[in-house]
Amino acid sequence: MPELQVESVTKRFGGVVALDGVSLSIERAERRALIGPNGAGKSTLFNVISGELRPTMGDVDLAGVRTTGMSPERIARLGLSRTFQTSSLFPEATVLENVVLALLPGEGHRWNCVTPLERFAHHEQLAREALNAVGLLARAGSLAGSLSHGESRQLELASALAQRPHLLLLDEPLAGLAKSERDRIGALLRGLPRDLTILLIEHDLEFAQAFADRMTVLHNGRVLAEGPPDDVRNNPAVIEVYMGSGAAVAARRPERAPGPVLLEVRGLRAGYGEALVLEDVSIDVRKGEVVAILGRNGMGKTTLLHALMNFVPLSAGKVRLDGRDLARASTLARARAGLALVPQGRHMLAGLSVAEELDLSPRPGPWTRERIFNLFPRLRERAGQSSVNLSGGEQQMLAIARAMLRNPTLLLMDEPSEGLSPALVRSLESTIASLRDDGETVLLAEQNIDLALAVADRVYVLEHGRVVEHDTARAFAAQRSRLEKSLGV
Amino acid sequence: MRPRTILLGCIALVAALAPLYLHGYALYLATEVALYAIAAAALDLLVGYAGLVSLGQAAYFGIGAYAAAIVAAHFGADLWLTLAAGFVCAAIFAAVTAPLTLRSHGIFFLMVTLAFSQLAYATADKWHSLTGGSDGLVVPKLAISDPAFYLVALGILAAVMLALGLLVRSPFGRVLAATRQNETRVRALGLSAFWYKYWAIVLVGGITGLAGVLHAHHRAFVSLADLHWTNSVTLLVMVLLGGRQTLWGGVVGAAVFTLLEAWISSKTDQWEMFVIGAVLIAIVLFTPRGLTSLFASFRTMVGGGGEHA
Repeated sequence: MPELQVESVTKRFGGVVALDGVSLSIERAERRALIGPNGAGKSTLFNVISGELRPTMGDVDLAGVRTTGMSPERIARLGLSRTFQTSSLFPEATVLENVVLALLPGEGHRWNCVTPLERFAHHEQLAREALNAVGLLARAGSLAGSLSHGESRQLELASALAQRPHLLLLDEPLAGLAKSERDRIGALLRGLPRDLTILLIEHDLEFAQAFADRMTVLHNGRVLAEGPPDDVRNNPAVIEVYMGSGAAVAARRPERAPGPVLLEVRGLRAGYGEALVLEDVSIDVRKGEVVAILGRNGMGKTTLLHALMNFVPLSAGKVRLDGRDLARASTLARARAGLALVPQGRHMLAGLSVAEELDLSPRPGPWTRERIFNLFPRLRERAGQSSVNLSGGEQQMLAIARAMLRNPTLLLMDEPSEGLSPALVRSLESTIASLRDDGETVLLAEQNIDLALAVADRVYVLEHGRVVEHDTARAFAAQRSRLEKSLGV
Repeated sequence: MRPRTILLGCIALVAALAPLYLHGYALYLATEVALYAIAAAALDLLVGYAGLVSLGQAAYFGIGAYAAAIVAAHFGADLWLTLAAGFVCAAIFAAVTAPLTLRSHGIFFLMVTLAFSQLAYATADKWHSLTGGSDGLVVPKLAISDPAFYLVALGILAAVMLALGLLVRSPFGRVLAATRQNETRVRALGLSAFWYKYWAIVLVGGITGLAGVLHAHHRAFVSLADLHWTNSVTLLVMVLLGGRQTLWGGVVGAAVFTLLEAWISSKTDQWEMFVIGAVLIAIVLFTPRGLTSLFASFRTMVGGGGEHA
């Protein structure tokens, strides 16, 4: 009997078919990777299996028990545990408590309402063992909200394992991690017990291939291919949809005469409360340029963009846009002066349709809705849909479109490639390149070296809140090692 | 003994000895503080821990009060009997309405709880034969003195604080607090978020009913005002004033609000709401975490350790 059996599952959201007759059978102790471009339906399939979504048609069996239509909590108690695409913890509880809570259904006392949680020594012991197994025991007493991205992933894994699952669903466990953290979490995943059945969604093909016994490729809500990793990767149909045909190398761009300085940042210091994140940052962005800020997680990229938008107050330094001093200007004044931000994580507004998001705050200028729809035909098709129901890649398009309709003097983009499949990163690349060819000015914060080198004119490298390297993209392309050192690749 | 335990002991002693130095109107106010504190501390379990901002507490409070009046009229003015009746009736109302209110989240939860409390109000208004409609009901006098009644209210407050204090530290309370932070995750762990919130609402409904019973005996009269939605607002203000997620915040908030209201209405009868409003705005602006947070900051300032309340 297979551990997990998915039988012709179809899931529709309104008129959109997210899953179209997907069947999947995973044997006990098998490691299966589920790959496919953004919007292929991978997360939807996870949510159907774990009970958060009810399939429109079809059935799911967990070790022979039909779970279609069961609540997530019942399915979890049947032996399924999962991690989420964006780290999801109980931020106000300690690391230890996060794991102890995960133990309650299995170890008992979940309805006890008189004994302090700390008194359950047996639970605490098990939780410490689980934390030790993922190397997080030293942080047991910290609040989960204070963990780094990588540590949050470790904690998620510890609490998923504490549930003693028969089947573990991992939703992009490596997404958004810096190289060193990636290696650490990757090693943890490879070291998971071999008798545990695992279904993994991952964009990192190398990792998925090395990790899985079999791979399933999902495309447009259907199973495109399935088999041993090597066969699947060499399948021409898979290469076509997943890698994007041609794997076009960014065209050699003609050298351009630099325009006047548009954004001038000098000696910028900023942080959150006591914690200083940006020590001393000075950068220039010239008109018509694409400038990339490269750096690992936690090096201050987002804080820099937030300081430019005044989401974080400056403690010192100068910011001038088009000769105008903005250091004391409010966020509203900065937006009016022509700054527009494409935020990390896209920030869709729940309850608004795609068209409504676009209509939020357009400013007159060369960018109109029609021109946006020509750049992103997908958004025209989805205009009437709720923006939160779009796939990750479509949300990224919408976030860019929303900012472009502001007709910004300077477009700020915060890690637009995060969580996108290789094919979509390539389409993002051509989007930024076409903005550049249209004469737009872009300041791009990224971890993805290839993307940055493909689109940027100049690159700044940020490390611990300081600019440590600065050169043209062309020069960096010739000496990639200078970047790889800072980005820990 | 830890400083916290000593402080609590002192407060309990001062409160328990109040009948020795408080008389008449002052004792009346102290009793009001105690019974509102019961309802406010219970509401904090919903607002601060479960993240359920309810604007329907007036229904539990009023149902408790009416239950006391009706039971006392038919079966005699027995304190414990009316307390049991008030608890059960309010808890049943909570148990019946919670499956519907819990279908909504955030601002909608607030609106739906308000709608149900208005339903209770309208029912009491129309059901004249049972509730006396807009005339209200006289509650037969209890056979105990005012100081004794004050001590009963204080005792019930102490018991409620003890029970809620244990609850929020227990697995049940921790899961409840976890549903506020991330409900999807609670369910993915195999814990039924719905039932935790459901039983919390039923318990809070019952406790608020107890406060209503005490209120009915204390005023010797129940009326539609007890079911009026402004009571829900008052309780919510008490919780926010004192500080969420502390339980003690409800008690501090009830004391400050009740005494402030009494003091200001003794000075002016026209500017009462204006002054109360201004004071509340000032407190919320300057201490966003409520008055109990001042105690915590004071402790940090003098360098005292110990866990947070």
